[in-house]
Amino acid sequence: MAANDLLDRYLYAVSRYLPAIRQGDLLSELAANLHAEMEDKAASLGRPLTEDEQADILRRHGPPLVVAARYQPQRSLIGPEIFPFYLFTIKRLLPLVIGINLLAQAAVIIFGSAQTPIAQRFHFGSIFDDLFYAALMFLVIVTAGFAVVEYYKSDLRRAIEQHKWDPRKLPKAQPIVHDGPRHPYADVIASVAFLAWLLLFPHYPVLIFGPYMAMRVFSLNIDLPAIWHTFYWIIIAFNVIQLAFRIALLSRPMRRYYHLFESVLHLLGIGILVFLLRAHDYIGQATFGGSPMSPQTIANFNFSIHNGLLVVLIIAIAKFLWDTAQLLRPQKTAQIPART
Amino acid sequence: MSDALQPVFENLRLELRRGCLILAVLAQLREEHYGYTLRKTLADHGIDIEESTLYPLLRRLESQGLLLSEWREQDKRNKRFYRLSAAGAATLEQLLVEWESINSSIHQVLSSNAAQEA
Repeated sequence: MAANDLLDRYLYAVSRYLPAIRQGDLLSELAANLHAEMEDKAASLGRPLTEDEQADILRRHGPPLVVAARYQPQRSLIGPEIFPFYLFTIKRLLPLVIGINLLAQAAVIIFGSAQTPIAQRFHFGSIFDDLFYAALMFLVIVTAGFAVVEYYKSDLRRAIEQHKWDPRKLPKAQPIVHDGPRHPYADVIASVAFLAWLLLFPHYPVLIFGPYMAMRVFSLNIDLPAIWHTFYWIIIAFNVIQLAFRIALLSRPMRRYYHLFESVLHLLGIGILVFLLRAHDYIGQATFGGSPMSPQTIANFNFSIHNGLLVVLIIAIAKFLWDTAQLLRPQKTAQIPART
Repeated sequence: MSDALQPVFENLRLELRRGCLILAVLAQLREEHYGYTLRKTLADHGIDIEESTLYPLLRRLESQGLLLSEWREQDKRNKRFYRLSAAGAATLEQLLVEWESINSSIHQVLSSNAAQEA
């Protein structure tokens, strides 16, 4: 009786994972086969099986969940045939989705409602929340789409097989250009770190002055004109755009736009310098060691900063022109191997 | 064989066996069997197949129309007997032709390799 108890318990355990509609039929067959095996073994031994011997047979037959699962049709959300296309789509489009989302957020921050001060429109946490949900939604939609493709795979395969493609209609082979950032992932990490630093330092001045902040070595106080406040948000926007480009460059196909992205960033940098040069007052009132600085000293500082920025602008424009000229020159590129 | 290659070999062996098992099951079911006796007969011919693989496979082949089944009493116990359907017999013939062709091609490849080495 104990032995039958063991088999009954096994069958009951399997039944819990079987679909109700086929449960009775499958269990009867399983029971008949296991009974036959046990009786066969008992006949060969010439005695009834012990509980251990029955347990051995059941153990060899497999865990209830595994046994029941094998009676179910093979299921996979996205099978091995479709999976490479799924992965390819994600690799190709996810960086674009992230890049577009970052650009859209930057546009909202810069050009958002005029009634809301720019600082209030900007929330570091909400940027990452939006980014996370955009990426998640993209993954959900793509996965659902490919699951549908998987479901209708056989119809699709027939359609592809019937579609007669012609190798003569393939586009002309182009030289393979190995170009793009040397360390794309390191670039993204560096951009994120710098952006975080930019966003955090107004709240934590120690991030600029380091330990000197606490030691108060310099007793220098400077009133900064409004231009620096605007400049701060322009720099934030610039870095968000740069981060979006660098994320996009993680995708190999996007690397063909590497030089375009670099040129856009370079031009934006020149634009920022021009914006700064339009101002002539970079320092307002200032005190050093408790004494106010003379207007002449402040004027000298402003003159030096202006001239310094002018030199930087000239160098930036020269570099931009040089880089553009280099790009327009015929390039040495890798060739598609010739047939031998 | 090195320990590192053992799992690779196991995977390849399973892949190789998978198709052959279906062929063996269809061929054996030219005669009627129920699950347990089918497994025993295959084992007697040197084809070991786990119960948890064989029994669901029988159901799958039946749902594909390659097997027929019926419940019948034998030795005072109800058992489900399987046999090849007409469609199953036709499919088996086609599969055997394919198998013979693959087998002979592989032999040709092997003998041409052997001739080159000699």
